[in-house]
Amino acid sequence: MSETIIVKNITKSFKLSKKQMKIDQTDNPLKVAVSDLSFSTYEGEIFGLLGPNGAGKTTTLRCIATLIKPDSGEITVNGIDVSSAVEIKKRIAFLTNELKLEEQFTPNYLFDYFSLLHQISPEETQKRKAALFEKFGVTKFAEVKIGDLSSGMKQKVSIVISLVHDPNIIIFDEPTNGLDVLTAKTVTDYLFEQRNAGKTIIISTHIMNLVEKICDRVGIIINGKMLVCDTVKNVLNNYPGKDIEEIFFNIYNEVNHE
Amino acid sequence: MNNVFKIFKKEMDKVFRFPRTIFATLILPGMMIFLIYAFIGQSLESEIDRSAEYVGIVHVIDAPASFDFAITNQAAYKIEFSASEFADLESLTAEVEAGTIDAVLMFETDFDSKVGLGEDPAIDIYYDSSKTNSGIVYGKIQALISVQRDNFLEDLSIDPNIFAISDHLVTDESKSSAKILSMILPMIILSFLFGSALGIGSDAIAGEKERGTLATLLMAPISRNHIIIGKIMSTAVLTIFSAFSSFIGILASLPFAKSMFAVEGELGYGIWEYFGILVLLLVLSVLISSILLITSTIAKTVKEATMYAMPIYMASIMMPVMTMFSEGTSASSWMYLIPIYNCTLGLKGILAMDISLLNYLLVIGSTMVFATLIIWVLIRLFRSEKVLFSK
Repeated sequence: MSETIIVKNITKSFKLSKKQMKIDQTDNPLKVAVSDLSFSTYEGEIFGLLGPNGAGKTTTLRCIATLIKPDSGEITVNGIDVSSAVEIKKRIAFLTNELKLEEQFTPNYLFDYFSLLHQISPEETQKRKAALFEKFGVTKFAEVKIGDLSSGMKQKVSIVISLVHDPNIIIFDEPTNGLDVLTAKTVTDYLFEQRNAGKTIIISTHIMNLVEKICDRVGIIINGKMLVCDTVKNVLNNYPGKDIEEIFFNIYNEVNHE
Repeated sequence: MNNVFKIFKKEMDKVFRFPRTIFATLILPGMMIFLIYAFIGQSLESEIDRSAEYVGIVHVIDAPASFDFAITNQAAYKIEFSASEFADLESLTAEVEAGTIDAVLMFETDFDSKVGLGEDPAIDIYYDSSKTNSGIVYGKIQALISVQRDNFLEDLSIDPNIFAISDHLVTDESKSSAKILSMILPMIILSFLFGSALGIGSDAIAGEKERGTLATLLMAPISRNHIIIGKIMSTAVLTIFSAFSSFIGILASLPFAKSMFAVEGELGYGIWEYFGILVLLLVLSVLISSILLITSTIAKTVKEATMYAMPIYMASIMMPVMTMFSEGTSASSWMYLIPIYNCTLGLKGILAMDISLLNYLLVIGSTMVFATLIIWVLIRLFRSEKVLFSK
């Protein structure tokens, strides 16, 4: 299996506002979100990033998705440096709860619009749209404005829109958050299907059993550092604890008691 | 009642616990009203001071001895009198219209003798009501004639209406009407332009940030420069549509404006005046859109963007107030380089049919330069992670 994403020693800090300093109860205006973090992903795998809120998962994914730039370190996607943002964005799908769709447009309009931005031909757009709308059950509300849809429906449309360009790499930040059980199952089935088709999937989550259930490899991030990065099987075998959840809390407690 | 108070307290806390809201809700409105009236007052006061100091140029034809008091004390009355002949009347009125002299005062021949005989000799005053200076001098002449009349009344026991004064407007009526419109329309135009651009511009970026749709757009394989330039273009085009709407509104309302603003006579705007207004509105729309997109980029929400833009909006609509009472041609060339203020001067100048081509080109050129600079700043801001993803 060849490497698809290589993250090498990245560090990313943010300057905190006074309000954020108050929330974090710190006098230090500089927050290191990710520190000297490295990992790689491979073709045909689902890689899970596990960590508590504020651990640096979203920052890492945003760096890969070219939304923000690391202060130091290197990231390549399919051999291309992330400084070539446009090229990277052609190859990846990035979906988080923070990414929303314009409420006054319909799923149909938005699919066509984002296909246009990705320079996909009209024929190919129609083909992909029919397949994805069918798979995620969007067809029946394809002409309803996003603002009139339920949150579950909106989530489905967001997933579909993020996949317009049939990307090789799919990055999902909390992929099943806010979804009903049936839609969550559709999403996980889709991820398996894509993995089996040789694509790379990175998911970031704090739901431990989801990692155990669907991921091939897992990276545990705490306080901006990658503390564990291995196959789920090896992590279960080599670390104390009966499941990923227990292993995670053991590591977390160990780090925070040092 | 206790519950009513709880609701009331929370609503009050929404304002009083946040310095920005206190500023926007409580301080800004009062400050703006104070500033607007202070500017109007200042503008009027400076105009009054200027009027008092202004030395007018008046040509007098057949000046009688009874008017000598004015001519010998001309420095005190701040008027330079020059004696002229009736034969020059036509060329003199042309000079009044051109603004090189302020008025012509013509007495009937043997004026004093005719007054003594109880006749009503004529006094003709030629002035240009569309020119502030000519208007000021006209007022002074009226005052001097009044003194002259009083002098006669002291000497002779005769009817006070001994003079038959005739005013002659040497300007065409259209210019006089245009002057009145030029005082009012720039403020209306700027308010409408800013008002429509405010809504569109605030939503264009801050709205997308607030709704979470900007990050979705940033994930599309297009550069940020292309996104921001697209935003500038769409905001400017929508503002331009609004400008067109204002422009058509202006054209359509001119017949009504005449009666609304006590405008007399026909408006003599030609194709060049309309074209000049149109081009100015277009460049002004681009400048305003870019300025408002900066506040929209810095802000996190539409409400915040609107709050940031409000002082700029208020300052901009104050600029036409500053120029409202001044003589269009009295502005120095450098004033035509001050952003937005220059557009006010330009609009006023065109509407008053009183702007040179050089000054008009200065307005258009400098506005384009400012718009380019603002767009450059905007592009830089749009590349900043801190600005785009700040929480």
